[in-house]
Parts: sequence; C-alpha cells; structure tokens
Amino acid sequence: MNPRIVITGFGVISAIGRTKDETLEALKKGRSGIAPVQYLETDLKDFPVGEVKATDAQLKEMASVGKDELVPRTALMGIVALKEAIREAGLSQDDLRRRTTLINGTTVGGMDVSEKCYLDMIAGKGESANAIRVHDCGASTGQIADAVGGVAAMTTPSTACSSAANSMILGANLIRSGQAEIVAAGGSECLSSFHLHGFNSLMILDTKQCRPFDATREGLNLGEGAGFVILETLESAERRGAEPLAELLGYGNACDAFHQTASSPDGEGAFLAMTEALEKGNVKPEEIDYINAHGTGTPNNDASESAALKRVFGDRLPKISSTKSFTGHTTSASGAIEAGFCLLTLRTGFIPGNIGWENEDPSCIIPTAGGQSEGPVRKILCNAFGFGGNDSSLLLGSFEKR
Amino acid sequence: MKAVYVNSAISIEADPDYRKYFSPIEARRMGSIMKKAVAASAQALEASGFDKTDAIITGTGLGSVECTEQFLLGMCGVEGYDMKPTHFMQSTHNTIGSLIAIRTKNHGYNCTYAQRGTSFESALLDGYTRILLGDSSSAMVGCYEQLTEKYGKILSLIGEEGRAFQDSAVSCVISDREEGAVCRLASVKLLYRPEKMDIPEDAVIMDCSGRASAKVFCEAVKKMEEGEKKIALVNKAPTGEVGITILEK
Repeated sequence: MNPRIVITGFGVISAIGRTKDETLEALKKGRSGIAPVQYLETDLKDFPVGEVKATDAQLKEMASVGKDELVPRTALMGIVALKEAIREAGLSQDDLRRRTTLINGTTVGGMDVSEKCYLDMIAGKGESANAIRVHDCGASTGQIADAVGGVAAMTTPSTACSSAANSMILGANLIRSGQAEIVAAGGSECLSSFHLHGFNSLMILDTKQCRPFDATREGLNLGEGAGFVILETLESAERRGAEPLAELLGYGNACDAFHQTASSPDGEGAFLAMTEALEKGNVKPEEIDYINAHGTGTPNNDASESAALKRVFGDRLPKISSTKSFTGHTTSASGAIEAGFCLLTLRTGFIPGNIGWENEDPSCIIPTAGGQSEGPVRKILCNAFGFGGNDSSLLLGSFEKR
Repeated sequence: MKAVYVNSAISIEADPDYRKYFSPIEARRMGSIMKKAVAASAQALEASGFDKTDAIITGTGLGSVECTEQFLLGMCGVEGYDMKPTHFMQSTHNTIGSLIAIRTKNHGYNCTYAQRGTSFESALLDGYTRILLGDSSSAMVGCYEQLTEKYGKILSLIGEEGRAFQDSAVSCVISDREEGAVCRLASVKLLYRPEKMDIPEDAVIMDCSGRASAKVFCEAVKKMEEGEKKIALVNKAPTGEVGITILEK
C-alpha cells in the first residue's frame, strides 16, 4: 500500500489486563479473565463472562472522569485505552485537536446506563431523561473525544463484532486519500444485561469457559473492553519523531450475505475478507506467520472460519489461535483488542495459545498451543466477523525500513 | 484520485407498497425501518441504472429503536413485550445494511455508521473515499432513522439534542461513473466543534440544522438536477459534530 501506514501507539483494556504489560503477562501465563458475573448488574447469572476487573467508580478514576458524571462503561474503557495509545504515540493536545480523527467502533454504546433507567425515562421521572444523551453509540465516541481534550473529527462504525476492525479500515482509507493526517482507530464495548440476554436468546452462550475450535465447544462467553491504535503515514511519524511500532499492510471487508446471525458453511465472507487483505498488502499466504482468529467458540462460527482458512491457506496453515478463551468475546471492541494482542506478538515474538482447546474437531483447524516463536514473527492476520456477515480482516506487519 | 458522482438519491416519505418487496411472512418478521430501507435501496438502485453496487454503506444513529425497545422492555418485564431473538438481532445497527446485502446477494464492502446527527455524512464519507481511492467503483449509501413514540417522548424532554434522530429513509447511489450522473460529489467533511468551516464562497448554502441531513441531501441533488451549479450542505449537530457536503455540476 502506498503511502505506508504505520502504527505509532496502541492501548488495550480487557478482562486480562488494564494495560499492555498486564495483558502480555496474562497471555504468557495462559491466564484467562473469564469468571462468573461480578460487576455487571443482571439477573442472568448462568454464564461466565470476561469482565474488566474494575467497578465503574474505579474505571472513572483510571479515566480521570469525575465520579458524578454520567459516563457509560463503554466510554470509560475507551478513554483508558485511547489515553494509553496517545501516550505511546506522543500525540500533543494540538495534534489531537487539529490533526486527529477519532474512529470508535461500538454497538452497545450506553446501553448499560439505559437498561437501568429506561422505564424511568419513559415515565419522565425527575432528571432521568438526561440518560438518553449517553445512550447511543455516537455519544460514547463523543465522550471519549471530549475526555482527551477534543479531536478534529469523529465517527462511529457499528457493525457488531467487526466494528473496531472497520474503524481501522476507514481510518487507513482517510489517510491514504489525504483526508486525515492522524487517526485514532479502534473500538469500545461494555457488557450489558441487554446483549447478555440477547446472545442467550440466540442460544449461543456457553455455561463453561469457551473452547474455540474444540470438538466439544458449545458457544461463546461475552467479554468487554476497548482497544485503540494510532495510525499515520510513515512520513507523518518521521516528521513528529514518533517510532513506528508496526505497519498496517492491508485489510479486507466483505459481506457473507448469508444469514443475519449465522455464517455460511464455506465461509465465503471470511474468505473474501482475508483474500482482500493479503492482496492489498501484496503478501502471499505462505508469508503469514500467525493468525489471530475470530474463533468465538460457537459451533457455527469456528467451522465456517476454519473452512475459509483452509480455502485461503490450503494444507499450509500458519499458526492460528483464538484469544477469546482469555477475554471472552469483546464484540465491537474485539477487532482492536485482538489487533493489540497481535502488535504485542510482533513486538515480542510470543504467540498466544488457544487455551481450553483439547479435542480435535475434523471440521476445524487445529489451533497452536502458542509460546515463544523460534523465528521472527513478521506478518499477522487478525480476523473480526460480525452479525449479518460483516467480515473484516487486518494484515499487520512488523515495521521494516526500506 | 477518481472523481465521484451522484447517480441517484431517493427519499421515502410514506410507506410504499411492501408487497412489491416482501412476502407477507417476511414483512411480519421485519421492523418497519428494515422494510423502508429495503424499499429505498431498491428504488435508488433502479433510478441509478446500476444492477448492483460494489459497496453497501449505511448510516443510522439508533438502528431499529422499535426492536431494541421490544427486547429491552421485555427484559424489564413490561407486559406485551418480549425478548425474542429476532428483536435482538434487529436491534443491532448493521442488521439493515446486511439485510440489503443478503437480499441482493452482495458480497462487497459493507459498513454501518452511528454518529448521532452525522450518521449520514459518515456513511457518505466512507463511500466517497472508497471511490476516490478506486477501492470501490460504486456505493449504495443509505440513512435510516425511525423513532418509537416512547423514544420520541424521551428525546423531546431533552430538547434540541433529540432532533438528531428524525425520521428518514434515504438511499443514494454514488460512483465513478459520470454517464447518467446527476452531479459531482466534490467533497464530504466531518468536523467536531470546529473553529472554522471553510465553505466555498461560490456555493449556495443549504442549512440542515434541525432537519435530517440525508433528506436535505436529496433536495440538494434535485436542485442540482434543475440546474444549480454548486451547493454546500452544512449540517451542524447540536452535539458538536459538523458535516459539510459539497455538490458540483
């Protein structure tokens, strides 16, 4: 791709860590963050979840948000992750306000607030209607923007579980076309009782820790968190004196166009998205060192994704793992959180395992046990697929001078 | 970079005859915003002369409030509402764009934006950029909003900010094809609390304040068809987002 788009900072927060250091340590130790419901207010306690281990009050403190401000958890986690990314990239207030576009993928938005007071809002009780200001997806993005002192522009992709991956695709395109100088791209999503019930109504939740690609897998665990990367051209990074940590080599977005909540048996959308990402990056399948799969743990997704992986890579499958048994499915944020994990792998050569996998399923790929890679890890695909067949794939590479 | 043209723009005001688009069973299962979106996109495609577009891009600040409310109130135990999986499924914003893709068997680029009053401009910017770059040669860009009585009532309690989500069902086709096009889409800009806006002096300004900007876009395209030379659509959302869209002969 021309111009080259580099990543100069990133931040992640999920069930396995509030910072990149904590995250890497958990990935290395194979420590899952999935546990019984602890922080979410819900009547549905049958399913384990991947919660960020902090109360709203603790998150407010981490995000430097006043304790009486009405800020949904989605926005709070977004602020924490974005600030970590901004710090690493060394962006100034002026860079943010004048030159940075914020693209934050979310679907749940402020539902955690609304679901507690919707009946009061309808009844017009007291000041309750004010909560509607923070209900929608764009409002969360606005609160994240305001918390970092403002940005030049912002928008909110909302394609369910591929939202954050699509943030990076739009961001890269805005930079390539000269319409944005710097983009903070990613996503943020908190748990809500609403979508916990929603996934339960679809009967795709597992009552135990999820086991992506395992023959005994029964469904997914929901998780939460946020992730952001700072994207800019190599020239912009050099001008600012920022170190390129990695390169966004390519990306693909395609629609499975099969069913609203199920993936096609041959994984057409996933196949097209991965193929497009490789072609855009001018990278051959055999050059891929690792794939962070979407791998939710539902029987349908993992079989469909495996079919697509076999179509793209044939018999020569690279190392593949899903990290959803660490974090749960962080839905709209997953594309950015998992891209963050991939950036940690590019930096350290440590490939996360697919914890919980034991039994081979003939219809699925066999995931890697993970560990320190013998050779360098240079190129990674990171998949994120959403309801409705909104399938996206990101191609990340270590930064090499040329 | 390629030039971008507007090939059609359709705004649906009243409910069309849905029998043209759905079987009675399909229609019953579908929220009204979904039905309007399918109808608008089919009409925009027909008016554009395209068989299909490379990309389907949707703007919707709230998605199907009707389905969200059904599920949410069902969860709260309100009588007459229930937690049906179809309601949950249709409560996600991208269900509209993916439904259009499923019905037209379109495997191309598909994305959805939910940015309050500038959801339409967000979708338009994505499509415009893809065509500029040559990543897509055509895009169906739609904006769909529909409130329920309850949600509308809550919004009215907070005043001006609630206006961001006015009813609309707008679909347009933009592409790199000049032949048969109405006008050129010269630029789309998103800003947030800007100090200045840089609106070209020779453009006729159409103010979208207090209205659904996608509808004003359709009116502007019509004016271009009638001979206007340059129009700047200025959409200042009360929440700070600004969208500026320039149409040229």
